Amino acid sequence: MTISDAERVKRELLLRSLFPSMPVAANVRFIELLEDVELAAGQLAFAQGEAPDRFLFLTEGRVIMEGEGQLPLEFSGLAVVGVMDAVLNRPRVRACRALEPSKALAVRTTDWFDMLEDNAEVARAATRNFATRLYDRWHELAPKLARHSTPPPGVVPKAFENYDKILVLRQAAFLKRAGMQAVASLATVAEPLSLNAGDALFEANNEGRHFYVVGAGLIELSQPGGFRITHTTSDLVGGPASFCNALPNYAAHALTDAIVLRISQQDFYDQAEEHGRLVRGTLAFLISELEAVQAVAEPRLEVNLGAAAI
Amino acid sequence: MSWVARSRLIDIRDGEIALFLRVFLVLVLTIAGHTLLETARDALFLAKLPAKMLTLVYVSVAVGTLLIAPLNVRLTRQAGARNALIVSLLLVALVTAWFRTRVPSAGVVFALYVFGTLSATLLIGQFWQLVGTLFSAAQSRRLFGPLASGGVLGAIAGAAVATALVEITSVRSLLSVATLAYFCAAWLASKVPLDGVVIAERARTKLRPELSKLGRDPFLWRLAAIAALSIAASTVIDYLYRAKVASTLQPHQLGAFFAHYQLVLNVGSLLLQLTVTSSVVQRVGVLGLALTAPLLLSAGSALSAVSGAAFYVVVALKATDSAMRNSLGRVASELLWAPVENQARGRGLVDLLVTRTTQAVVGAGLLGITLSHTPSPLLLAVCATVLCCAWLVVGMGLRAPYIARFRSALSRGSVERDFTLGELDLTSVEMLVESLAKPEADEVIAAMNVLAERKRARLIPALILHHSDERILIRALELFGATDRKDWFPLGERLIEHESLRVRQAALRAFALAGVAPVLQRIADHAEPALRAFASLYLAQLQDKVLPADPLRWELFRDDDEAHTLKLAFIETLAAHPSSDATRVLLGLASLPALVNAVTQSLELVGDESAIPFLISRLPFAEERLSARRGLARIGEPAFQALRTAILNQGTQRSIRIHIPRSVAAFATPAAVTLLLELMSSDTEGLVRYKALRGLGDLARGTSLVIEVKPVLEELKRNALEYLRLFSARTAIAEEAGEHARLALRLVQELLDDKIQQSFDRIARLLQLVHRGDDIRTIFSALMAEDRRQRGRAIEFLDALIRGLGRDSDDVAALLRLVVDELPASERAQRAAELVGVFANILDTLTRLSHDSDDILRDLATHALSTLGRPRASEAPSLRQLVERPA
Repeated sequence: MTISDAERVKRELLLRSLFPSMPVAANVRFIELLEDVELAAGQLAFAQGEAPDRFLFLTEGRVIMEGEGQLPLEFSGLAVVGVMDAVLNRPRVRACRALEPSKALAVRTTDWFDMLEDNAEVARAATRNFATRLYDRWHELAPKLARHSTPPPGVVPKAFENYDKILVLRQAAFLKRAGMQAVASLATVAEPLSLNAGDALFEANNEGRHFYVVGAGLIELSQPGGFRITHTTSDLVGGPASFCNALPNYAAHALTDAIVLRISQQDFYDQAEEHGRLVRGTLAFLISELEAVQAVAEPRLEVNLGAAAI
Repeated sequence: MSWVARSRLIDIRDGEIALFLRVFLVLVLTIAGHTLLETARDALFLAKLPAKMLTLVYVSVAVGTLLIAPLNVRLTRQAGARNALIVSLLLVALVTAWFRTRVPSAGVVFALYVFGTLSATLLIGQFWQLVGTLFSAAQSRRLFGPLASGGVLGAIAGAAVATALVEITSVRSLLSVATLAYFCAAWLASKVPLDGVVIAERARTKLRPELSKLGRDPFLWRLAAIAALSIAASTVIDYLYRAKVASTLQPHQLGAFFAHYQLVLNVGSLLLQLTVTSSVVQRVGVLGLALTAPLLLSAGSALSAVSGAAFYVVVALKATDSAMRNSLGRVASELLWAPVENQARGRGLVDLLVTRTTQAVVGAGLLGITLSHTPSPLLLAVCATVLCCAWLVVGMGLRAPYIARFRSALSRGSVERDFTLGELDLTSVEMLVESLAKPEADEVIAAMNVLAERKRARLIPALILHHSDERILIRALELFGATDRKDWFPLGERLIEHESLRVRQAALRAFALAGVAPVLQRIADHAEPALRAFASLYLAQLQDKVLPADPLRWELFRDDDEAHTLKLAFIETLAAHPSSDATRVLLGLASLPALVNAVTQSLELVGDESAIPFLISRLPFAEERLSARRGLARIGEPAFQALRTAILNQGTQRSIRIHIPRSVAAFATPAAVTLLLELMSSDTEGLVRYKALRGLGDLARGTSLVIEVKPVLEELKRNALEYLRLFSARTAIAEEAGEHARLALRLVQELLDDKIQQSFDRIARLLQLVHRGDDIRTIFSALMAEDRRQRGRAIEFLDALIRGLGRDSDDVAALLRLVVDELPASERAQRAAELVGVFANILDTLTRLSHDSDDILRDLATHALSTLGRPRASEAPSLRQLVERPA
C-alpha cells in the first residue's frame, strides 16, 4: 500500500494529536495501516452484531453508536470509535451511524494488535493511558459494584504451590485472555504473601511497583476520603489503579486470613513482551471494568473513552 | 478406502475420495477412447498418405483449434466446466461413430487425423479445467499426480484393447470401442457434483487488452513462451518420429506397431507416474517439476542428433515427449497455473491462441520445407534440441514471477517496509504550516513535531512564541533551543517574564540548550533566585568549569521542589551541552531514584564509555530501556563488547540478560547479527532465544544487513519439530480427554495449545527473517482462512518460498508442509510419529511430558498424571471450586 506524502502527513498529524505519547516508529507504521472511510449522513459505518474486524478514527463530522438496550454514545471531532468491541472480540454491541457527512480512518483490529505486540512501549502506554482515563470513574463508582461489597466466604489453604498459583491467576479477570503459557510464567514469578486478618498488604504512598492478586481470603482497599472496596479470590487489588500507577493513593489490609500473590510490574511487562495476549487481555479487562462501572453510573457520566485505548 | 487415504504414495484424504475417484475414472475412459482412436488414426494415416502430409495436418489442427476455441469458451461460460465436458464427450463419441461408418479414403483419413488431435486437445483441456475448479492449489499438488496417472491407466487400457483387437479384426473397429469409452466417460462426468464448481466469468474478453496484459505480466508471458516452445518442440519431435516410422516400417506393420508402441509407452508412463511423479512433485516442487520435461527432452534430442536420428533413439524421444506431456508436464502446467487469478481467461488465451498459432507456424514451416525437399532427420533433431533448450532457459526464469504471483493472489501484496521518515513535499509543508495556525493545541504541537522530525523545524515561525497556550510555548522553546537559529531570541527572552513558571523555566532552558551565554548572563541578574542560580550553573557548564563533587548537595538545588523541577531541567541541559565531567555529574544525580529515568535519557545523548555499566543496569526498566539502548548504541563498539560479555555470562542477572538481545540489535552491525544468531541458536534461556529472534526481526525489517540462512533454517527445523511434538501430544490427550474430564488435564491441554501457537508464531517470525519482502504474518493468517483456495495458495506460497533457499531447505520444507498442510489432527500426528515419536495414549503422553525440559509443562503433566488414578474428590476441592466458578 502506498499513500501520497500529503495524505501521510495528514494522517500523521491526526495520530500525533490523538496519541502524543506514541513512539515515532510506531506512529509511522500505524499510518500505513489506515484506510480512508467517508460516511454520508445516515450511513452505517458498521452494524450491530457485525464482527469487530476494524475500528475508526473519526476525523470530521459526527457519528452516534446505538444499540438495542444500550445507552447511545455520540462522537464528534477527533475520536476513536468502535475500539471496545474490537478489544473484547465480541460482535458489535452498538451500530455506528453518521449523523452528518463524516470522514474517518479505519484500521484493522488484527493490525492494531500486531502493532501492540511488536512494540512493548506502545503496548504499555496503551494500557497505562486507558487505565488512567478509566481510573477517575472507577474510583468514584467501584464501591457501588456488588462484587466489591458482598464478600463471599473464603477458604485459605495452608500452602500455596505453583499449581495453586496457576489456578488463581488463571481465574484473574485481567489474565483470562492471556493464555496458559503466560499465566504459568507469571505464576513462577508471583510471590505468595501470607497475611493474618488485620495485616497490612501495603500502605498509602507505597512504591506502586507491584500487582497484587488475591489468592485466598479477603482484602480491603481503602483511602482516607472514605473509599473502601473488598477484593476476593482472583481479584486484582486496585483494578485499573494498578495499571496507571495510582496504587500509592491507597492502603490495603487483610479482612480475613489471606494469601496474596505479588507480581512485580516489571515481570508482568516482561512477560507481556513474550506473550502478546497478555496486553490484549489486560485491555479487555479494563474495558470490562469500564462497562461495569458504566452500568452503575448515571447516564450523564457517559463519555467517550475510546481515544485512551492507545 | 482407508488404504487409499492413508497411503503415502497416493495422499487422498477423507472427503476427497469419492470426488477423486469419479474424475479419475472420467479421465481413464476419455484417454482410453483417445488412445484407441489415435492408434487407428496413426495406422490408417501412414498407410494411406505420405509422412510429409503430416505438416498439413499440423496446420489444419492449429487452424481447427483456433476455430473451435471460441466455441469451447462460450460453451464453458454458458454451461460450466462440467457440462461443457459432457457435451464435448458426447459430440466426440458421435463423430467417432460416424468415422467408423465411413470408408477410409485419403480425405477421410486426413479428416480423422485432424479430428482425433482436435478432440484430444479439447477434451483434455476441458477435463483439467474442470478439476482445476474442483480442487484447491494445495489439493492439486497432492492429487494431480495420482489423477494424471488415470490418464496413463486409460492409455494402457486403450492400448491393450487395441493390441488385442488388431490381432483379430480391422484397425477401424477400434473406433467402435472408442465411441463406447467416450459415452461412458460422459455418463460418469455427469456424476461429478456441480457444488464448488466455479462457472467461468461471463464477461466478453477483448483480445487486444488481454494480449497486452499477457505481455506486461512476467509470469504469464513466461507461461505463454513455455507453451509455445513446448508445442513447437513436440511438433518437430512428432514429425521426426512419424517420418522415421513411415520410412522404416511397411504399411501392414503400422497397426501392430502403433498398438504395441502405445501399450509399452503407457505402461512405462504408469510406472513413472506411480513411482516418480508424486514423489517428484513433493520433493522438487512445482518449479523443479516444470524443468523436468525440457531437461529430459533436451538431452533426448541432443542424443538423437548425435546418433544421426537412429530409429530406437527417435522412438524413445517421442515416447519421452508423450509420457512427459501426459504426466509430469501436465501436472507442472496445472500447478503453474494454480496461482493465476481468472485462470480460465489467461489460460484460454495461452492454450489456444499462443499454442495453436505456434503449432500452425511450425507446421507451415515444415510444410514449406517439405515442398522443396525432405528434411533430414538430423536437422529435425537439432531443431528439437534448440527448442527444448530455449524452453529450459525460459523455465529457469519462472521462480521470481511465480512467487510474485502467489504474493499478489494472497491479496495484500508485499509489506511496505519503508517506515523511515521521508522528505516532505510542498503540499505537505503547506498543510503542516496551516496546522500551526489551528485553534487546537494538540494539532499545533503535532505539526511542530512532524516538522522537527523531518528536519524542517525552521519552518516553525518564531512568532509562535506569541501563542497564548502554555503547552505550545514550551514545546516551541524545546525545539528552538535545539536548533542553531537565532530569530527566536528576542521573543524568547520576553518569555523569561511570562506569568507561568513552567514557561519561564522552559525559556531559560532553551537559551541554555542553545548555549546563548549573553542571555544567560542577563538572566543571572534576574529577580527570581531560582532562575538566577540556574543561569549561573548553566554558564559554568557552558564554560566547561568543573562542577562540585556531589550534585545533590549543590546550593542551587536547595530550594528545589518535590518534583525535582530544577534538577530535571539541569539534567536535560547537561545532556544538550555535555561538559567533560557530565557523566560523573549525571551518575551522581542518579543516586536519587526519582531522577534515574531522566539521567538515563540524558546519558543516551552524552555517549560516554563510563556510562556503560549504568546503562546496562537500566535495561530491565521498561521506561528507560529505549534510552539505555540508544545510549549504548551511540557509544558503539565498547558498549557492544560489554553487552556481549554480559549476555555470554550465565551469571548475569536474568532481568538484564533477557533485554540484551534487542539491545544488541540496536547496533545494527554485522557483528550484532552474528551474536543474535548465536544467541537464537544456543542460549540456554528460552526467553533470550526468543528475544534474539525478535532482535533479528528488527534488523531484517529495518536494515539490509545480511542474515545467514543456515542457522535460521536450523531454527525453523527445531521449531517445526517442537510444533509437531506438542501437536502430537495434544492430539493424544484430546482423543481420551473425554474419559478423564479433569481440571489438571485441562490445564495441560491449555498449556500445550499455547505452546503450539507459540511454535507456530516463531516459525512465522523465522520465515520473515529469510523473506524480508513478504508479509509472512498475512500468509500465516491465510492458513487459517475459511476459503480453502486461500488456504491452499498460502500453503503453496510458503512451499515455494522455502524451496528457494537452496538444497538445505528441502527437509525444512517437508517439515513445514507437515505443519501447515490441511490434515486431520490424528493424521498429522501419525505422520509426525517417525520424527517426534509416538504418543500412544493419555497415560503414555503425560508420562513423557512429565519428563519434559519445560518446567511448567513438566509440573502440570506430573500433576495431571497423579490425578489420573485417583478419584476426582481428592483434586484440591477448594481450588477446583474456585477455578470452576463463573467468570
